[in-house]
Amino acid sequence: MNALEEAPTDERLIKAALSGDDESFAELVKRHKRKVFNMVARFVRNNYELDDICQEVFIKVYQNLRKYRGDAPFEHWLSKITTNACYDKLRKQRREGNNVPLENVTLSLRDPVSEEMPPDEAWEILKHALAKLRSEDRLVITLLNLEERSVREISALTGWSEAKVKVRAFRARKELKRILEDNNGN
Amino acid sequence: METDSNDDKLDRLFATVRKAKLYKADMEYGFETRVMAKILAKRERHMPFLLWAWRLIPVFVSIVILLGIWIYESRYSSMIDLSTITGIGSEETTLVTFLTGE
Repeated sequence: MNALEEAPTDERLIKAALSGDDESFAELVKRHKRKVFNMVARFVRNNYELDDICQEVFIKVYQNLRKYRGDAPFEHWLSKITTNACYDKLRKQRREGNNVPLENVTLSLRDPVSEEMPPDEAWEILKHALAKLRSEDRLVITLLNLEERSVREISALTGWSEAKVKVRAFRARKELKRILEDNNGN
Repeated sequence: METDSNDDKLDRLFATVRKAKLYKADMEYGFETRVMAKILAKRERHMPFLLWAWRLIPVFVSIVILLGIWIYESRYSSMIDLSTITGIGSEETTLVTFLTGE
């Protein structure tokens, strides 16, 4: 009885979705949406973009489901697609020169970034500073310092070599500090 | 020294940001329904020609049936016309026979 009630595995849902069962794909989306939302939320400027990019991610998953070989967990494959979608979004933002407006935000490292500081406020400060970084730098900082992924994981997600990830992370961190310090000086 | 201190501050900033709630939970509500609707809409838009042809089969069948009926009807009506003409011809013969007394 218990075996019958057990939730189907991702692989089984994928197989069913590939044979035309839309319900199974909807179940797959339901199962993984939170992870995608949490990841994408670090790269977008508002809730509309968040919903848009998350939908885009799952549509890409649906369109490329046949390419999923099953040699790694579905979650890894999904993270890779999500990372690519976020990176594309960042590059588009840079091209449009559409950065987050800086009014009413004080970027500063001299501010007491203490445990008492509300996380939402800290996020606002960091978000505005991150918006000034290059797309690649922002991606690597977000994955390494906010998502707490390892260099190897970032390398697998982005397709960059581990050495490139390390160098980029170092430069990105330096640049981020410079942005926050410069603003502090003003 | 300043750099080390700033490094530390940056790390603390990252740690605090990691605790931030990035979006409202109600954003997830009905998400899978929205995704499926978009997928269905895309699927409809990119429907291949053959699938459309399958959908049009009842229309083609109806046209063939209607054509068949029309052809059958037109043949039948042309046969009636011939018999009418033949009938008129025999009526004339009867009249001539009657008038001439043959």
